[in-house]
Amino acid sequence: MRQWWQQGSPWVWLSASALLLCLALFMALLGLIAVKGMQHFWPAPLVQFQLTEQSKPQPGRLVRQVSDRTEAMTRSLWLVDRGDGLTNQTNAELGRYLLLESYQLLPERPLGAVLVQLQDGRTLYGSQLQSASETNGLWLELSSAPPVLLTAADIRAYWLPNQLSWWQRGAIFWQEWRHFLTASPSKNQSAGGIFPAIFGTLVMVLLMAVLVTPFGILAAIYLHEYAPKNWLTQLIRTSVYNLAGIPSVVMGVFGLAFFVYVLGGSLDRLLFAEQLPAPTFGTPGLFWAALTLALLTLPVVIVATEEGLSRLPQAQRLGSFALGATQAETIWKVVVPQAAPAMLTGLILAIARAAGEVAPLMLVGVVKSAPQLPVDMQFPFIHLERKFMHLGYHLYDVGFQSPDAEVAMSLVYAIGLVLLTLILLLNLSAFFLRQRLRRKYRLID
Amino acid sequence: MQTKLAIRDFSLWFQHQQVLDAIGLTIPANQVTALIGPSGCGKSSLLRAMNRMNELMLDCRSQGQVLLDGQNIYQPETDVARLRCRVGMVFQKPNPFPKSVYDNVAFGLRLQGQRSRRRLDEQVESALKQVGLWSEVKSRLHQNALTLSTGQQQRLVIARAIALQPEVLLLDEPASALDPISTLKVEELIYELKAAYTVVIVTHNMQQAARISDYTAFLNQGRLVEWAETHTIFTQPASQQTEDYITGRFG
Repeated sequence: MRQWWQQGSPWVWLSASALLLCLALFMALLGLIAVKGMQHFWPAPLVQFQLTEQSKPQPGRLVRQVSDRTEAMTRSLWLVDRGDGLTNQTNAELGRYLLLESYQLLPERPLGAVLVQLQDGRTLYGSQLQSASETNGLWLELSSAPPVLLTAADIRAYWLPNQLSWWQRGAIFWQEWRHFLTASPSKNQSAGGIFPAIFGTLVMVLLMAVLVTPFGILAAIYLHEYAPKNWLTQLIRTSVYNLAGIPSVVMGVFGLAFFVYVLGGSLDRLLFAEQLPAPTFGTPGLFWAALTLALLTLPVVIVATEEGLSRLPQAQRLGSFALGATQAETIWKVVVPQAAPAMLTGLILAIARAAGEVAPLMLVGVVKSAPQLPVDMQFPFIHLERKFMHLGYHLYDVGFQSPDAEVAMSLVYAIGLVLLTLILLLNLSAFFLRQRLRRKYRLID
Repeated sequence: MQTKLAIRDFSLWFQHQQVLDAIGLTIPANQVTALIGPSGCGKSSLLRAMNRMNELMLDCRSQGQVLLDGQNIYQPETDVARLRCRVGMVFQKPNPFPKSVYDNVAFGLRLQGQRSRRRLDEQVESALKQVGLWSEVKSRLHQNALTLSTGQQQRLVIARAIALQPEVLLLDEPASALDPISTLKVEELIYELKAAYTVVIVTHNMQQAARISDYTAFLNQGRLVEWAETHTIFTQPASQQTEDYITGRFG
């Protein structure tokens, strides 16, 4: 035991368990988001509860609302069986869960149960579906209300969840995912797709990368290669490093005050004077959001680039000078190519930081719902002044501003999953680019 | 004997420390001159003074003259990049760029504005032949230079320097990082190079200095103690310090 202590084994175990804990937390986070996000689109079986005479809905909201509220009042409830055991609970537990006063419920799983997704984003549950040949539409039989007639134009998709095979479920799952990723949100934000938000996030992050990369790299090159090594340079370096700690919402305020009002306002007076007082650039928009985030991530790029520059052996620079290269030639032909992987690391970190930021964007250009995409076929194709949607903000909006908590809950996970995947893809592409450069400029120590 | 480089009353300071103190030295053309002395005696600084590489260090100040063919290279109007083409340099540890063998040798030529592929091919081949590397690398000219062995890398950087056809070649302990066989090859190479170039070599290996150099300068604590033909220095040194050093009594 004494020997075990003296060899330092406890430290190995302590550090290993810290790492294990971190990994476990990460896996739990990713697993939760992935499972819950995927579940949102899985066509799970439907369970119907008939409320008997004794059961009286309490005033107030159902905890887990599954059908139209009107239908809850008419003594029938539909519950999506997500396999979380809810439908196996006793009447008492279930009643408490559903906020019912007296708990006489008759659960059943009717084969003909129908789930209809309407074009306007609403979801209807019914017990049977009959084609209405005369109008080319469908009659949906609700459990205890008169049937409703749905025209073909109203319906986006429908399926019978209780008689699907696994293959059919899989097909619907993918079809719903595709719809989610490619469609625009419907009028109530919590339904429909999120395509404009994905697109807005992507365009904004790419624009940010285009803005921050040259600035950050040039600044780092000056700081490391040209600037005299004295206290002033050191002071500037320290300040730049500390810029990384500025809260992003403060950056947002700065972006609004300086970029939008000062820069945008002057731009409007100079170029778009005929449209005043309606602002063109003097209002939050895509370009200002990208610029604000570029400012936010600038220190990250500078720090990473400088790190790469200082890792490059001095012998490489001296070798170049000794061959008659000027300082500029040395920097562009020897230093920058070999420091490129580090620059890309900086870019990866910047993208990861920028794609997840929401707070500053709310001040400088993100909106709940944008009528147009920031890129389209109209000249000049990329509209920097337009407002745009963003996944992070959409997530916040759906999660906290939506009246329908039950749907919003799993939708939030789904949006989170998409945002995570998007950041992962952006990072992976930069990562592979970096690996290629690393192989090209392999330095043997 | 023709003088290629003449160093006159040259002193050098790093920050507030004097590294070289009033050095006066003549480097004869087409001869190998060895600079020897204990560690920290300033022999590498003196070597770097000959192509103004010291200026790349922090807070460096110099005084005195270094004449290349009678022209003071420390004149303010000197084109330093041009000077370093005329006075090439090879470092202690081989430092090829992580580019192909070909691009390494062509690096200086391209900087000089050589764009013709045919001329580049010729010059690269000729430089690699001069250092005896051509037969070893001609089949892998476009492989990364870092895949070569250390000895080959050192000969490659010598080829890279002589591709520019310099007049003077400065070698800073070129064989100290190499194994005995590679050392032998580099020494033979230096011996051959003096036909075309003036060579100045810094070494801490006395046998090496005796083997390959024609003239030897002994430095101690920033001062030039003695300078003479190599066999004179090694057989009948004028100064007691030199004798102590080459017989291994100090340093």
